[in-house]
Amino acid sequence: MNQELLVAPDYADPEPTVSDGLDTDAPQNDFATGAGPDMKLSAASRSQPPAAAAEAFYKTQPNVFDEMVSPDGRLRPGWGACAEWFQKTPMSFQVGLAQKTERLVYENFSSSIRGDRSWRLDLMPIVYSADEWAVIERAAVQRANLYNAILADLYGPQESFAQGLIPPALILSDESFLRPLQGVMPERGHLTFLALDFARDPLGNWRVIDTHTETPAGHGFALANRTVLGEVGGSLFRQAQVLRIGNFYQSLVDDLLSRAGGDDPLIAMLAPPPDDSAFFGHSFMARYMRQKRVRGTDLRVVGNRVYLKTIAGLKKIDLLIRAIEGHKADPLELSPDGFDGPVGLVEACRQDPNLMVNALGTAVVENRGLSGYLSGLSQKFLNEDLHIPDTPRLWLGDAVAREQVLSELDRHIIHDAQEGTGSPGEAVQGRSSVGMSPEDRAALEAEVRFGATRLVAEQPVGFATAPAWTTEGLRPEAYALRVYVSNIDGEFQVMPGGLALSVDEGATVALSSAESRSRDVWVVRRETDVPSLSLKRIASQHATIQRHSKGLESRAADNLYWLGRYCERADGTLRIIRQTLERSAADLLAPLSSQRPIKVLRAILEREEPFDPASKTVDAEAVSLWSSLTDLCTSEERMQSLPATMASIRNIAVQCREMLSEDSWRILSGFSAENVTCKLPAPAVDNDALPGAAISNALDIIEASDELLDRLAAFSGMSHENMTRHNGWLFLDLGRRVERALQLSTLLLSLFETSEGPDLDSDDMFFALQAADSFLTFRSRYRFAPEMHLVLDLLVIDERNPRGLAYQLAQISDHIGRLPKSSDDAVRAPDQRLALDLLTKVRLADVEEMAAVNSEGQREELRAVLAELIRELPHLSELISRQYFSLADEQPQRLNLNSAR
Amino acid sequence: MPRYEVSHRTIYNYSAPVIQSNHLLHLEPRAVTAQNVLRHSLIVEPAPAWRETRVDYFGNPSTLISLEDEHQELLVHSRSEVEVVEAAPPELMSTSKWEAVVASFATLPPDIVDFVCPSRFAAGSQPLYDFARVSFEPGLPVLEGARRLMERIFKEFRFDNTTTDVSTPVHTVLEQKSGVCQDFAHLQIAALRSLGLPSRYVSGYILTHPPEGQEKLEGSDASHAWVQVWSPETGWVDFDPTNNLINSTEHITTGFGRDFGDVSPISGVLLGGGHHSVGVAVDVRGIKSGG
Repeated sequence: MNQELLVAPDYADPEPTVSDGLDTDAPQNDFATGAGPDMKLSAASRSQPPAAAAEAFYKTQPNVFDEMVSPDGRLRPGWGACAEWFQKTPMSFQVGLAQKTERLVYENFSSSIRGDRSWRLDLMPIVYSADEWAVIERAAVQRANLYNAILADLYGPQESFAQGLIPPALILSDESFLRPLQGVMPERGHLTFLALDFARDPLGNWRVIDTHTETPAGHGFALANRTVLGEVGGSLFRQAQVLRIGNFYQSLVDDLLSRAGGDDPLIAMLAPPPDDSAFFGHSFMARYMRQKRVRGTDLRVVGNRVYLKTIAGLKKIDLLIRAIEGHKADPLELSPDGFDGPVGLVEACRQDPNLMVNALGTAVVENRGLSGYLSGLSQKFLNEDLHIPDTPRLWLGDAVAREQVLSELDRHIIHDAQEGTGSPGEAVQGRSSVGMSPEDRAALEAEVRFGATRLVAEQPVGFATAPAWTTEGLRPEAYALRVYVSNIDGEFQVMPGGLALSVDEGATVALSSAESRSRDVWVVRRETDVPSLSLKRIASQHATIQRHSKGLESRAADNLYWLGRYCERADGTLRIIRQTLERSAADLLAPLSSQRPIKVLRAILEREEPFDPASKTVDAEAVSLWSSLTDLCTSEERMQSLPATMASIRNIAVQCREMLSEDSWRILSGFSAENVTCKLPAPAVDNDALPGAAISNALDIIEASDELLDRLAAFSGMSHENMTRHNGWLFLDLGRRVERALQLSTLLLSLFETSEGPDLDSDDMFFALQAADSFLTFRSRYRFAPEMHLVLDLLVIDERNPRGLAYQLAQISDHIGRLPKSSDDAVRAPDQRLALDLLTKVRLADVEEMAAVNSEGQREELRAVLAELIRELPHLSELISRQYFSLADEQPQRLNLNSAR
Repeated sequence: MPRYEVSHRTIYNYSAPVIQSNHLLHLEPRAVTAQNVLRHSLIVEPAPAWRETRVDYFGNPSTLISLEDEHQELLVHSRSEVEVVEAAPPELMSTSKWEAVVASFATLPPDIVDFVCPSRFAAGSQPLYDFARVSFEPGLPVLEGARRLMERIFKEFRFDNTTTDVSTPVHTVLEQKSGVCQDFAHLQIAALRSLGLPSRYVSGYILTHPPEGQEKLEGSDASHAWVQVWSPETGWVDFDPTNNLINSTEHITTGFGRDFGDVSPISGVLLGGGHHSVGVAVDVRGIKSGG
């Protein structure tokens, strides 16, 4: 029927598919991938001639431009491979892929931070031929140059005011015009990153609907989309001859490094804290580009230079990638309530205008009010016509436009001229007076009158469509396209790809549909283009070297230390829960067995309170066991409870995600006490019936604990095997050791402080050996029932037992000794001295004396040694945090302004 | 020509050590047509690690200081000597009709437009517009309208330094009809901007007079704020709604901006410091001229 259909000239497969893993467009270890189906064209379908016209499987809307199919029913250039795949592939298989996409998106995008606003990705990409893309590219580069020229003028001579090209009020009432930055001129212009939202009207004419010049927001989403779809549709991706985006980022990173100068420059992305909605995108981009992501509190400006706070002191930053909003960058000279950057940053930028990309103040050209003035500005600064205009807009600061809009308010949508971060899908909906109550309408009119210089009016003009995937096949949907532009080696380059989003027809012009699906954007290469390599293959030559030679940020060290502690806390707690239940299940019929394991549970739970195990009275075993267990497994308030510990692990994992491997991230972010808590018996179970009724619960909990312990062991093993032994690992392990020593001391003290006679003591020695995972070691050494001095020797004194106390203390002392110290310290630092002191006391302890029971049945020496550890280890933790992390805790505060009278 | 000596001493005490502090100062009087600055000195203790004097976006002298050693007290002492030029009172009645000034908005240069646009502490609104229109009868000369508005604020509003603080919005001031000079200035500016008229915030000092028969107390003066309104005939003219004065020779200007935020005498950000207390002592003293 149609010769062009499915036999697009660019369709030949250049090389047989060998390995999917290698061809994914992102570094493997940075991204969760899953085995599963892939989009492949079957050999049969490839060799067959086209069978059906496009109408057979895709119906466009009448009189609306469609990206895939032209009005005469022919496929547009570039779509051949994709269209064929979706036409030929059985729907059940497509559904499978859509589910896989959903899963990958969920694993990689979802986080507690973004909340319910889940990201969705359409199985169907949007495809552009090289020729069509060239149109966009040309316009995007022109825009980038134009905005740079406008910024240089606004922060410089302001000729565009004097020549009447921009009404001064448009800029001067925009809060993102940062007056303190007047005269600060970066050599390469203000912009390094920008993004443009393009859309076609229903006739197919391109226009620009929004501009994002503030931060690289959105890059992370485009990258993540590409990675997911590259994984799901790897083969189709190659068969369709799609340009890779890795090169673009590689050149960008190389250029940033060369701009920063020096042999080994320190670059960091300055991003908002994790509770910010843009966090995901920035974090993903920083990881993809293998650069540090820091927060304002990680930095300090000293003598007009910006420094990173590290565990070895302050390290000078050579280049900052700005991912925070400009007006929040310095509470001293910019918004007094903006603490996203370090105080003094503005002055640091005045001293070194090239310090930060994008420069401060670039958001001002996002102002939608500029739309009507761009063509004049393009003539002035570029001597060119504007290739693609903005969507029609009226700036309401213009009196004529304002009166016109007020006289026909229902026909317009009122938007803020300047709007925040530019995270995709988060644009605020415009306001329409249609259907408004008289009061709301009056309020809107008043706002137009008194806030006119900050508002624009738009008239909906409609959108072109592109195919979207549904379980019933492809369906046309209105869409808009975000294109990313970066200054690389002094010239603006367009990323060959991007991010597309479905848009609500009519309601708005901006990309605001958070619920709609996003799309990957595929640009089909010309025959003559050399296939580019993915970022992974030409892995940055700088990356590995850089990580080692740079100091570890204080905040990162702090996070890793606590990650170690919380993981070990979860591990120890689960082991004791498991051991207690195992014994309780075995001892159902032995009411005289020791009740001290329950004391251990309580001691763990109450560790943050003054520790006094002797004062704890133990009730009838069964009730106390389950109530202690329930407290430990469900309490929201207690810091030591299992849910609190798990929540802490997840929070920290989010904060230091870029330091974790993808596997570790998956383990840690999925941690929850839920599996254990859901197995607890109902609290209403009759007390007498409890042991019998609860036996199956006990077994279930043991099983759930086993599973969690396996996952903890997996993480522990991974960090042990995969992390190099530099400072990050030292802090992680230090956290583990401190926590394990504390747990073990608590366990031994609760069990053995008071003797309950040889039988019960013997039971509890088994318990201790098993809870401390040292039973097999003991068995291999001694072929008889445990005796106290032998158990204590193994669990306290033996430095070769990695589960023993002495081993933990020796490791702590060793690690602290290897951490950077201020060079002029001739004497040992306080943390070092305390660690050595604790280790020595344990080394010198006498097991026979510790095992000895006095006339009141007390082990005094044991108590003396362990109680000191329980008291001093938190103190040691405090010293470590003061020495290495305290820099991370400085919260800046603004002085009250002194009022005039 | 009246001459004045101004001493402005600020002492901050912190409950915990400050690791680092940065401050932006607008304490040096600005040289303007109506005022010559003869002398200015600034003492900061402990000595800052660096100090940079620059001219800000609005042309005001400003100083940035950074203290990078731990400290628990900070003294900033500014001393200046200025000479105020006496000028003929502006002819308010011969200025343009206020509607004409509003209509000329699109043709005004950026350094005037800047002061019509809304700012953080002084943005227009319907209630402020209604408030202003009482003084601005149709066809009234713009500065006569500004004078009537100033007079109304002076008469209808009560000076009370307990009802507002630096963050009190103009609307609250309008509703409660009380505040301090800074509030009255913001109120008048925002009301004028609601009409579409250019108005700016002036920060400085005023000579105060002790009650009849009493000695002036040391350190009893304060920093002061008033407004300027623009007309094409006169340029910017001072209006002080707290004292109902126009272009007085007892006002000393340190700088002007869109509102208080642009010219706050001392603002700062601390790392550490806990709670702080602040002591301010301002003295404005007339001195014999020609000496």
